[in-house]
Amino acid sequence: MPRNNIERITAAIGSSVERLSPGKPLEARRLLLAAFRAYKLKLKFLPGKELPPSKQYLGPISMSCMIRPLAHPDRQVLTSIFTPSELFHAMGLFPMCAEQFATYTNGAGAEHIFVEIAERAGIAETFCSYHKVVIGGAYSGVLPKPLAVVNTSLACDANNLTFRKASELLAAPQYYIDVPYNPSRDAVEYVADQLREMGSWLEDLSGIRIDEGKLKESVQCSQRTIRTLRHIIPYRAQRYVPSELTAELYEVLMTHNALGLPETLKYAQLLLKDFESSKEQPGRKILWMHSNPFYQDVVKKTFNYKSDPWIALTEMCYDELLPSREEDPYMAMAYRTVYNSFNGPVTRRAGKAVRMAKEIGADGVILFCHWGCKETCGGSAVIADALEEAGFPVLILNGDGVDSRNSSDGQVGTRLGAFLEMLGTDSHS
Amino acid sequence: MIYTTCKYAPEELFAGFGEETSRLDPSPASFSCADGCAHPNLCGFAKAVIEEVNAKGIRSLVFTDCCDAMRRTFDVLSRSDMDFLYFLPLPHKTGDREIHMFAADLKKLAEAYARASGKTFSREAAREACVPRTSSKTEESGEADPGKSSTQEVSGSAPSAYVSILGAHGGALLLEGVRETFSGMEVRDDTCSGNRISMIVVPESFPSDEAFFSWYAEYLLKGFNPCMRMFSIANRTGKETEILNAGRRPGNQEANLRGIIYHTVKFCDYYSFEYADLKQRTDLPLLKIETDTSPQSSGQLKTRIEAFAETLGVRTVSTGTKESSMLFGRQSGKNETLSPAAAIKFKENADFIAGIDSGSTSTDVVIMNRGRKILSSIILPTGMSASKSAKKALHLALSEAGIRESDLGGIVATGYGRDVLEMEKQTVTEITCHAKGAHFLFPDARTIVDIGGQDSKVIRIDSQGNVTNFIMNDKCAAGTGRFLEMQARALGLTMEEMSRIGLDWKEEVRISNMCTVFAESEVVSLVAKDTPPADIVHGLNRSVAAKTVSLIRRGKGEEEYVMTGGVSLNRGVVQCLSEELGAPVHISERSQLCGAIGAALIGLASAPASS
Repeated sequence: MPRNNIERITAAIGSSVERLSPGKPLEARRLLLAAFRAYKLKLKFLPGKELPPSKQYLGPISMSCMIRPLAHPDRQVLTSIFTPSELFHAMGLFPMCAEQFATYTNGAGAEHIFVEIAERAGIAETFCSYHKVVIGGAYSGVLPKPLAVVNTSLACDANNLTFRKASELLAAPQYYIDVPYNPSRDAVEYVADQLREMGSWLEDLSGIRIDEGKLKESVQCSQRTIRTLRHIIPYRAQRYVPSELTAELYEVLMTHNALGLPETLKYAQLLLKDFESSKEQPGRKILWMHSNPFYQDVVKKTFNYKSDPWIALTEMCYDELLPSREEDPYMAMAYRTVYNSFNGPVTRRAGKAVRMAKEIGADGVILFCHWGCKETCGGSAVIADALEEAGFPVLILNGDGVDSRNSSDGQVGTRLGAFLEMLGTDSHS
Repeated sequence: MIYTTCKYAPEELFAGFGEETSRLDPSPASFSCADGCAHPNLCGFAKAVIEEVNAKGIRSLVFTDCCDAMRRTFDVLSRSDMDFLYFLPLPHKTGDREIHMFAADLKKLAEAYARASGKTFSREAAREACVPRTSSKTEESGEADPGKSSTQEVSGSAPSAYVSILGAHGGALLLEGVRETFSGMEVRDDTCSGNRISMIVVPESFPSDEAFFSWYAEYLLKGFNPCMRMFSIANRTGKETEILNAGRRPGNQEANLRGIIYHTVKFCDYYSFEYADLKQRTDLPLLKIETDTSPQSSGQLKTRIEAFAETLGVRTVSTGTKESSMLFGRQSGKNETLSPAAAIKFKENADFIAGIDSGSTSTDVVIMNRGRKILSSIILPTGMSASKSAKKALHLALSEAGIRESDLGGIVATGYGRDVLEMEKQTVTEITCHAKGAHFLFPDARTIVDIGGQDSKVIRIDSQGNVTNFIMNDKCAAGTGRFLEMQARALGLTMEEMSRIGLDWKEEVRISNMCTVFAESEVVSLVAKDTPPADIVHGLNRSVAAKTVSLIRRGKGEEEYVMTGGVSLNRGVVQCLSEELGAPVHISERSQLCGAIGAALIGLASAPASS
């Protein structure tokens, strides 16, 4: 039940969107867009007082990444979180990440209707909820017809299905980037070729020519952002900068589809400053793997603005942060995609998790198994074993990043609480 | 022996080493091992592979990169000690570049196997193992062997009426069960693991291994009907024309495809998308079933497949007292292909018939005379023995009607327990019986919503009470009577109290969890917050109604709606359902007897004219 004004407004918007979506999709879209714009203003002018400058800056720019493509469908590219997006930025197009749409729709309290529409159409209840929201958005017509649909095969099967279906339902052409399973130089060249081909395809589609100078600039901006964010990692082992679950997800967006934007670089620089000026603070440091249930009360109460325990690092903010020496912008984007830790055998992801846990001196790792994510669920035992062998306690937490109906506050609270009790009070205090 | 997991596996490459291959077709009784070393929410087939490898002590296994679940299953098994475990990457696209890359990966696999086995690769032996496109090798027997390549659909085969199993791997268990039910009609395995025939012509020879691998990459990648994980899925089923045209021109003799059984595997995402698409595009009779590859839900599966056969006018009727089969847990009975009514043998000169609905919660018996008048009816809890309850209920019903068992022209049994009842009887699925029963009670009914103890069903019927379409919930108890029972227990209410107080709610409470266990914990939390029980019950009723409406929409339900089954006694649920549908939902005092009434009516329909 709503407890404050924001929650009351959210509940009212959510129920209106849910009511309008099946029959009046345009009205539902307008309402959703108005809600996102209003929330952006709230984040800009009334940011969370506990948040540092970087995170206060982060909220509004993340909302813009949703508002721009939704408000300008003719320049929107509906895309997956792992699709390198510098090409879109250089062409003045707006990538709209599917997972982002689902998450923000939950933020507006309207995700259930889209899940239901998808399931009624016949989509499996066990399908990833992020993707079900997108499919429901496409079936209902609340999602507008974009200029194009572009996705990678990385990191999961849902990409193979959702974007093909969205392309068909929204009558928008699709380009598919196949990312080979085994990282290699050949694989990078193959992906780079596909990116080049996709660029020409987008030129024909949009009538916009690619300015290679702008593209290079955008990729260089990505590289600077990556270097800056990597520079922060050692600070995460010692110092505390307040955050919240939603801000962690905003940062996931920044380190994927928003890489290459100057705003993202500015965020990274502000974050570095925040860490440089922060103080050492004792507290149990958690490495959080995969997405998070940012809406779930019990998880929010546990982590938001808390220094003990605190999420010192979210895995998905660092899976793509690979410095590359590639001069060619297409090769640089391809390198980052092919060598992403989510690609290939799960031992790559497990190995990276161990390195991250060591770098931040994690006290424990929470591996969030999002409903329907076979990539993470299926590999959870292997990842947990690798971390435990390296001396890091692991909690495999089953839940849902979007659809509250697939998890229980009680169960999540008990597991989380018991794990934190198991870690004991902070060892550094 | 090299084991494989999917049709894209390079079986012919291993023939080049003189090795036999077998595609895994596991059907484990439980997933205790896989749930522990992987995760419960992994696709049922992937978990079954883990169980099979452990149970059989498999030493050599080649995975293809078909899906997330197979990738992670390979990761899990990589930690075990096997002689040869290999993961073959598979491109999603099939252009020249991808074929070139795939050829290189096939060559690497051959090199790895040569190193591991010490054997030499013969491209001529591999070539000979490739099935030429013009081959007309057909199955010699009706026995399914998904472990072997199937070449049932080849050019030159005579057209005949058939049923196709489409979708995800169903394996021998499903195929045998369907063939048993549809005896007399061809059943084709067109699932992702069936129908492995490449359309690529096999050359006479290859000048080098490189040339073979280049060609072989294309043979595998472009030769088969593509699986759903491929980027381009144009004419994936290989029967687009039939799917589009057959159902739209009923009675058309060219339409050999008479119906589709669409199979999906729990936690496999791919095929629900094709199903969603297919059901929009075809008017062909279409049955969707979901399994987790284990035989756990065989009872429900049996009901669905038999009911589907009934709707197609093809029905395998079982008679006698003892039956069982590998698939359905009973041996094969005498099989005849007959319409339901024609299958029932009614004793001459008898005036009465008994209909028995042996359900999971209650056993219902109706005695009816030739004038379709109900002489007596009994409802008893099924308890521990379906057979004993049925005998007791029949005895009471006969006694109430004032007749003896020998006066009966026959007994028609329906419900989950119908096959295990130790008495002379004929059996018909509860779907057909509910249709007839509801039509009897409400002649204008077109959609029946039957919610029993463990099932929810939506049955569409025509003006004669014949089933035109139906849909059922899956194994999950959400939205069923059991769901409400568990919540009533958590609230400390009887079912009668729950039915009553759900109408006295004051404030909307949302029970968001569909899962029975999670919903129970949500109910407990609401109780702890002093939420009035009436509001909680109303929230639960809304939750059941929402789930049911979702099922009704999937089944394309239309007015008039009739609700049957035990949950129809809950007035709160009926009211919520009516509100959600925006249409009246009819219930009868005899709703719970609907299945038994239908069974009796089906028996009467075959009764010879009284002399």
